Amino acid sequence: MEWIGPALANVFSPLDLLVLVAGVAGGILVGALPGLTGTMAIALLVPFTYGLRPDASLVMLGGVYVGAMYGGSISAILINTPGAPAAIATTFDGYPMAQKGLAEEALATSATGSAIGGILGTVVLLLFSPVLAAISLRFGPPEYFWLGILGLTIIASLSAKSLPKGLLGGLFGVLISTIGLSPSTGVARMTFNVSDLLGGVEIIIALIGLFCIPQVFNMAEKSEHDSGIAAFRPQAGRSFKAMRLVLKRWGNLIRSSIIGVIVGIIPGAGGNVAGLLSYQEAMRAAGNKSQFGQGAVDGVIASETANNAEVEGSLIPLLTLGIPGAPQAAVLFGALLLQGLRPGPELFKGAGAVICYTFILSLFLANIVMFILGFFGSRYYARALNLPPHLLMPVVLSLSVVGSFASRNSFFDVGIMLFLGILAYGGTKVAMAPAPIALGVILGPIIERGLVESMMLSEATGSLAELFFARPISIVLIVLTVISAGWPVYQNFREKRKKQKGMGAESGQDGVADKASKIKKPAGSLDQRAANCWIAGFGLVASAVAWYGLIDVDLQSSILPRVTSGLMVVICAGLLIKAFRLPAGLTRKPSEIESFPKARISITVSLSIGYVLFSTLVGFFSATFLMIFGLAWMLAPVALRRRHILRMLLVSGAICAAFYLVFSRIFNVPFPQGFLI
Amino acid sequence: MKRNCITIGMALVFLLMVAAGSLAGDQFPDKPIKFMIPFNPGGQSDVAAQLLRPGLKEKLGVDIVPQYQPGGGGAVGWTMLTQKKPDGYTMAVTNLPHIVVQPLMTKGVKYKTEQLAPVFLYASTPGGIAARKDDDRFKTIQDLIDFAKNNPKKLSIGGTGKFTGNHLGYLRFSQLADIDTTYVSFNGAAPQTAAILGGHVMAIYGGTFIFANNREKLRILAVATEERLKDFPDTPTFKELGLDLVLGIDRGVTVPAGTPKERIEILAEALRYAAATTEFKEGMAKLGFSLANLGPQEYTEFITARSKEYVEILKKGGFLK
Repeated sequence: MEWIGPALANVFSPLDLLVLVAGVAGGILVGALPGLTGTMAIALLVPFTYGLRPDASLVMLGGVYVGAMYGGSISAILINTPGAPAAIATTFDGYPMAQKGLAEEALATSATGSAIGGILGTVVLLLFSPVLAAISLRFGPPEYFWLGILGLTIIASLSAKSLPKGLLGGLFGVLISTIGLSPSTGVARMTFNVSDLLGGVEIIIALIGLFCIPQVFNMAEKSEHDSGIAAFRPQAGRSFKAMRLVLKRWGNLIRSSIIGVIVGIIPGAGGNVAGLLSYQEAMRAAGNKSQFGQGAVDGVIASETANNAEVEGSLIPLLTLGIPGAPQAAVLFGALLLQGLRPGPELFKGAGAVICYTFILSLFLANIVMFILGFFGSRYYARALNLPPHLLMPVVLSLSVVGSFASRNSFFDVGIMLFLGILAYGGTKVAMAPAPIALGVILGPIIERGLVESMMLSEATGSLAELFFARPISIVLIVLTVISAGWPVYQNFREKRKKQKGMGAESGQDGVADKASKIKKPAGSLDQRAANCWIAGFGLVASAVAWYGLIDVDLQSSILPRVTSGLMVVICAGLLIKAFRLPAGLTRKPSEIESFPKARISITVSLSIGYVLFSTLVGFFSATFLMIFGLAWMLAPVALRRRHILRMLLVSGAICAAFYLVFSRIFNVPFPQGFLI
Repeated sequence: MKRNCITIGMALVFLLMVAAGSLAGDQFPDKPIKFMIPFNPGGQSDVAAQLLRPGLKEKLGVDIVPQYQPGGGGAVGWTMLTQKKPDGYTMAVTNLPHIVVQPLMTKGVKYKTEQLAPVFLYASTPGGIAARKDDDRFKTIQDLIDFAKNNPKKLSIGGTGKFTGNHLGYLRFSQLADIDTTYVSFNGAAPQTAAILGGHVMAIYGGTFIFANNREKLRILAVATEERLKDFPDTPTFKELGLDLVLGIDRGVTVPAGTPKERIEILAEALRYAAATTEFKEGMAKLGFSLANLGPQEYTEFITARSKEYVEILKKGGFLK
């Protein structure tokens, strides 16, 4: 206990306080910008902090980690794009809240939940590290496999209306995640001799494409005055009301924190898995689950509380065992070693103890600083949505291009992002949600590693079945999987039965389902029969391409993509059979087809593609400037064009300047240079 | 006629100016140098590169701009390097055995080892074998070999990836000891460490930095170096045990082939300078690296010698014909 005094003195020393606030603020900014991650920021800061006092250096890096984890929720809420993969589950309800004009509430909720998750996580880190570290070691390959499968069962909850479509999306995501070198065998799969594909599809690239691009096109689709997002009107006391509401959900807060910490201590499963699992549990615990996905506060709380508790969880195996529980923690590992601090039991006792405890205690403060910046900033961040839609849309588009480029400095990635984005936009027309695909992309690698490593291990132990089904944690995970997968299906079934009994067999289920679909159906949607055909056709093509890319690939390297594409074929066949049992034109309404603004969409799509191609030719900044101005001009109501021209020019210029400053100057992102800049 | 003379004269003056300009511009380097890191930020290769940057900047007098190009275990970045102008303004962190084995073993890898011109080799991470301290079955490397001889395939050894430094080391060990074991490939050092500490595998073939960070839990049975490591004076080398195994991951810097010799020399000098700074040496020691110091010529010979060894291991293992 003798370390308390000196550690506290350190935390509250002017230097540590200064770097802490700077770290958290920088982290929030980095986290909020898609493509820039906390990992990157910490890595870039490590050499710089080498010259700092050891405690100050760690305090700063910890601040970045905490800030970035929260920052991801800002873009998730405002533009439906997780700034970092960990915020994926925040988009499910955060963005719908923003669309309803509740952006400030959503942001305040996220700040409060994040801070509470982080603080509870720090308490656990401080008190229970050794015990939890021992548990983390019990997770071996089979447990990873089941953890990934458990994560996939969220699809059953997310797509209760059409399970086959959800499953197909999830499988497609898993298939995408297996492109490139196998993490276990180093063999190239589905790369079609393109060396850029060896690195596979980065998760954040897929997320930007799947979540952000469809929103961009949706905004372009909406009429000239309505972006589909209710205007945000600042009003005193809104964030405080939201905070009080969060504090009442203590059950959700505690449950999500526990899930976050547990996922955090498992090396290899990060904040995204924490947020998703906790989201699912929140959904199961809630009485009225129809709210989820429509802007449920509980969804935002669950995701954000869990991913910030995951931060501290991932530090547990790092500090006690020297095994980083997340990529960000891996970078911190390097920083610790460079400061001469060797993780392990002696870190808590020896000469490094004061520094170690300074670091842990500073996390309390980091979460409080994060809360203050996030909570009181909500009102200002939310104002971003008050940009007129014709300006907001190109700005978001440029942000998604910049973000997907910056993640790996690769223009190929921008192409993949745009491809997936256009695909996801097409998906909205056939009632395919992007969330299951994203889940597949995130969980695919965890499942594959678990599966292939177990297969290798079974050569020594003799029995694969024993590995998969006879280990205690595996059994727990299997039971959870069965419950998770079965529960929504059972509930759906029960609801249908109830309605059938209550309203009479005929109008019952169809009536309700139809009403729901009428409200949600976007313009230009296809009727169910055509939709099924399109989906099945696409799924079959994707499977065929996958099989072609797996010719001559050995079993261990190809087992997951082969099984996945096989299952896709089965589901597609099912969809086709169903399609031909439906009468044609069942739900098609002429009014919907007419309201689809073909011209606006084709302008937007071709300008997006042109923008990407143009960037490499003319230079990135000129292309961005032209694209923002051009799209704003074309999408703006005719009456406003001349009046707003100065504003359009200003915004285009400001955005380019901001990109230059943050991405080029600070993060050294080598944007393509053409004959201009 | 007169006009022609003037034109020719002007052209000559212009040519002279261009020539003078290019001579004056021969002050290499006169603009920032891109330092490509073909791995994720924060990895071992990145940390080492970051530690080199201050010294490089001091010596060369220009900014050294790090550029991350991760993907395919480095293959994406190295391919990109070979497509850059060979003017010395782009260099990349380069690891062995990666740049030799990837073009041989991985379909779709576009670069060739010869397309990377060696500049300087600054560090290596030695490999070695370790088991858990509380596992009484494996107190020496001989225990391990005996167990494997009596129980073919039953001995599980954890490594990281296939056709990587650890995998080649593992293969070499099995070939020399003539044993049949099971290799379990983990996705990086963190899960590998977790797997041995959690008892999911019986032993690991890994970098010695893992051993350094877990010395109270792991028993290091042998290291694959020429001499015993300062950090582990009681651990024998494989050589002492009669197994001719010296293998690790060797880290250096390369530029695109075709880069002028003088420029390579300038870069090599700067790297030598940066690698000799106290900050670099101390940092590398704390991270568990062994220092190396090979200039362009020696580095090239080193790659040739190592390549022969890698190919031999792969052929013996039946992976190459």
